[in-house]
Amino acid sequence: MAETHVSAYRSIDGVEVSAVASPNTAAEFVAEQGLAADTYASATELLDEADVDAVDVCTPTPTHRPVVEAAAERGVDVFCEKPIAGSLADARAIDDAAADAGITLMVGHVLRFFPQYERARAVVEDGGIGDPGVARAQRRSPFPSWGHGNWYADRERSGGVLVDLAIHDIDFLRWVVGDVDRVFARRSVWDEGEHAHLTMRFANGAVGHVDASWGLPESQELGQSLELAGTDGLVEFDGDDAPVTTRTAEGTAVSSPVERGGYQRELAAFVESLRTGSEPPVTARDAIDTLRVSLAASRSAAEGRPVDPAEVDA
Amino acid sequence: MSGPSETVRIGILSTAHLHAGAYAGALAGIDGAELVGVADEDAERGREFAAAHDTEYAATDELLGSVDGAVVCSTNAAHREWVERAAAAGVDVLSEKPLAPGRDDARAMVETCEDAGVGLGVAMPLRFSLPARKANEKLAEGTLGDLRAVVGTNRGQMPGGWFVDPDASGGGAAMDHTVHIVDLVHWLTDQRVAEVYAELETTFYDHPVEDVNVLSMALEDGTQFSLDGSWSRPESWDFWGDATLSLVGTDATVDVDCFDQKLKHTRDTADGGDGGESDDGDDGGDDDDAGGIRSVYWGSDPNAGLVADFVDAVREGRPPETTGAEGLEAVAVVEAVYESNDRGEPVTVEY
Repeated sequence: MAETHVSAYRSIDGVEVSAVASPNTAAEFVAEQGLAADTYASATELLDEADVDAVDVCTPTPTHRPVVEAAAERGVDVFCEKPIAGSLADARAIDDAAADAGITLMVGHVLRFFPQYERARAVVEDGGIGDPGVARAQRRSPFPSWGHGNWYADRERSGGVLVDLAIHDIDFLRWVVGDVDRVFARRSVWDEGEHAHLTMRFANGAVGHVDASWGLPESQELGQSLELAGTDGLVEFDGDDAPVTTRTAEGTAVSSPVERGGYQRELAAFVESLRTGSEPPVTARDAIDTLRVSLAASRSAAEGRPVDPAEVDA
Repeated sequence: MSGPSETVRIGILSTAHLHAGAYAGALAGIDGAELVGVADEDAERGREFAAAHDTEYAATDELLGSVDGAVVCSTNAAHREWVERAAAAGVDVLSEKPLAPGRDDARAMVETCEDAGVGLGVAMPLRFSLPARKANEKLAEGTLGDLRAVVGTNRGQMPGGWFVDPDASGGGAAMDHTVHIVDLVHWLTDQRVAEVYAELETTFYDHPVEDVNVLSMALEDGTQFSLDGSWSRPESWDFWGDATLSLVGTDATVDVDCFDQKLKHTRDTADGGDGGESDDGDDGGDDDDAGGIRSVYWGSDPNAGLVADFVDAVREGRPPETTGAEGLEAVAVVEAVYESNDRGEPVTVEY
């Protein structure tokens, strides 16, 4: 994710990645990315020594809390990757630390900034489907073995697909359809693979279905799709459709180029909120409400019963 | 019933269900089969159907006395009565799905046909879908590794008519659009649904049945299986609905869209008008009067395979592809769907 963010920051005027902290790989990362950035072995070192306006936290989920707390103590604004934390206790501590310090904190629920998702929501907001009836979202990827030390494989740390991957779609559907009254989920975990699905019952009576997979073979690209069916219409998006297909002797490659992609738009919105002092478009509160649904789904899968997100307190 | 070279004589019992027309069309395309006639609880409807499909309208007993096999296309609630009449006449029978609105009726039908020594089949055309059969090959070849998750959809446009009258249908989208994919998964995996959690709701239309049908299930070996069988396709959609299955294994994922083989057809009409097909389109039928954009299915017709198998089964005296006992299993899942929705918790399927 750090690479993706560096690439996005490059396209934003007046932004410079001037410092990078990572326990062992900071220098390597800076060289690979061609950055003119100072390197640090820890987040606190960076926060103490570097002159930065904000930090972008792309660390493993369980470390979000100490890193954000350290930034808040020093009055440094924060962009934090999703999920905000692995537990509600950590998430609340992050929210409290940011609020107490008066820093800006935005959480990376990036689907809200992907043009196709943003546009789908706009169709619904404009009454284009009437009242939502069934909302479906799918997200599938190879196992995220790119994580440092394979930390995603440690489900205690990553939370598995429900907390790490399905949370994208859970957040998006909450944003479009509203509050969630109950979820029911099933989860299958195998060596270097995981698949889960959940049903969602929204307060307004709509029903959702999300399926998320770390089960694709390593060579496969991320796949995503979305469908919102309502009383007066339907909006569908299939991520497999691409406008550019290149067929070579080596195989087929597809791409879907956009002027400003989801990560660029997301981080530009963060920078904008820093410049204007306005509330960022995805707050800790939003991220906590979304995490609560993901944790409810995890509990449902573990206990084999529908779970009201309000039950989840830790 | 008949000898190997003889024509198999088929009757249609009731034309309440739109598929009667598709089956009549399929029969017309099979050498060695003849649609002898049609009986109907609604004589006028039966006569119109007979005229449209170049066959005879007949009294039920008369028709049953002259056929080797019968296809029941009545309302769900009437399946049992028609099947029992066919069994009493010693006629093999293929029932439209679901076999019955409830497990008790379905079981009684299976037992009646066993006792009478007649074959009983249930119309599960997706077993004859060539894309579904390709997935079956991939499973058999071991391409997927161990199967861990199945995600299915069988959405449709709201069918209206008796489908939304609980006395005739037994229920809405859950009754109509659960059994196709459940049966297909039973067939593909050799596993039955063990547990069901259901989210049903009446959202899209003002009628006394559910039109939202979202299910979370587990197979006997623990494989997760979710299904969206809602009537959630708008009336203006470009096709009647869908039937898809995604099979997630430890080594590979196979996605199947049984009705993906479609043309996109755009037609201008003087007064505009919307797209969509005139019926539920299993027969790939086309409403020539509709303007707008719609999809025209060009793939192989699963209903043709279904009807051909039934004709062969009658000729050879063997069970049809989907037996009454298997149809009963799908009905048991539907009963668990409603029970789960009533209780608000997952329910173990009782077979």
